[in-house]
Amino acid sequence: MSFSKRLPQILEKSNIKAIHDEDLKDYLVKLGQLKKIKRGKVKCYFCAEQITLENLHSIFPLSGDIKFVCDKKECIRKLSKLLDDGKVPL
Amino acid sequence: MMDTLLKLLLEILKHYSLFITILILVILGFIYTFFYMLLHPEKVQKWSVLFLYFINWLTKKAARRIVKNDIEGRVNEFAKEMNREIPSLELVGISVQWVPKNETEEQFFSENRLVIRMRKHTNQNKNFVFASMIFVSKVMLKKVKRYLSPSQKDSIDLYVMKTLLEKKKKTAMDFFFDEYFSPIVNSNDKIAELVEKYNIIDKTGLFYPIFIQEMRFLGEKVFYKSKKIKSFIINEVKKFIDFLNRYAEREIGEKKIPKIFTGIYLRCGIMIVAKKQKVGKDIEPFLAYIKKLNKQEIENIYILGPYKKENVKFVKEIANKAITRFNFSKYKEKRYSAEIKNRYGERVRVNTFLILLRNFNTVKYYDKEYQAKYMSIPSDTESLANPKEGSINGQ
Repeated sequence: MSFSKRLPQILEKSNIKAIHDEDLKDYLVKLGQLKKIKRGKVKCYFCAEQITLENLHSIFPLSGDIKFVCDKKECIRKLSKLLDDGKVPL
Repeated sequence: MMDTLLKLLLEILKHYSLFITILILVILGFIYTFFYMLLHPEKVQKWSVLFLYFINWLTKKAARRIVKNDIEGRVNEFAKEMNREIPSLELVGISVQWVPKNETEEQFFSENRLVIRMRKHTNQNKNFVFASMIFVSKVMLKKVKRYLSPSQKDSIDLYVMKTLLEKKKKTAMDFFFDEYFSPIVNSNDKIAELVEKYNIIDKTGLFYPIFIQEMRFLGEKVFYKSKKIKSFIINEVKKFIDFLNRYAEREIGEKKIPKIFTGIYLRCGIMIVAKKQKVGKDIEPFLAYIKKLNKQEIENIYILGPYKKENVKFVKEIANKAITRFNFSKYKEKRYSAEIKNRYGERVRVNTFLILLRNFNTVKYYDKEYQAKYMSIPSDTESLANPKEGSINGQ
């Protein structure tokens, strides 16, 4: 094995912003969204399904609005596409 | 190295007591462990998760750290392994950043970023799958995916996710298969067909070393995007997958199968060095074949053979001669396990050795001017990308 292969790899990292379940309600309160979600007023950006605290997958800002994504596979795929196209920054 | 260490230990034992020898060993062990942990933080993260479960059981204060370390440790370990497997793949890892507790709505908009919800660690499989899907779709073959069809892109992502989970988080596979893999594959025939082909190609150990490697090279070549070019590349990649799939279905000794792919963007050849009668004998027929490939402007030659001492030595000899005679560079060599078909059509597991020779002189970068000057892409894109048979003395 050559020396270069023995050298350790320094891995560059891509940051993923995340919110833990323990902090989710407080965070949604700060964003002014918790009451709306509990009243059933918030819909998934892709499929228009009602967002609940159970099915919420992610949140992103778009054109001054807060958008929500549910955890359905089709919606996550569509989110991946938006990420790929750079329309939603990671 | 082990012999030297043992000799050193015996010398120390001769001059000092057993206690001192053990003490020296322990100190050396600590030093080694310290540097190992420093250089492999992802492994430390992965191992720490068990300890953190205990801490969390005691204090209830390690929940976030469990989620973070588990995801980062495993995904980053996978990224490093892939980077070693495919030089220049340059996969980046991930770092989970928790939203600051005092982040306001204003800060949410000014940061302008996606926020992913991470569940409690009792749902860690879900967390891992969600985070990994973002990782794979965002960082894997980023450059070339712009030119692929949706089914080609999605199928690659699905397959790499499957590999990631198989290697790093088997417990999450059921969730991934039930919720994502199976429904997607069952609802899309194109994706299903592609994933099936990748599976066959991967059985012969060629999915990552050749297919993903060639996709990486392709991503480094193409800079100018137009609908016509994209359509052409999609078709060429389709034919390349079929070429590799056909090769993967080859039986030992089967001669009449294409071993060279001569597309516009993808140009590679597979050379098998395995026949007992030829290994270790005259090297010239193999070099003549490489010369022929070189004249055809084949950019990458994958030399494959069984991982046996004489075979490896012979393959290395061929590669070294090709490097000096034909201006190739050795891009990588690797040993891997493959399942190939014997003469009865049954798959048998063999250890295989691969060397990739890359001719940097034939690599072209297809910008708009180059294409206008040298390439006339026909409207019928079906006619291009012509896989050919290739043989060395009928091998």
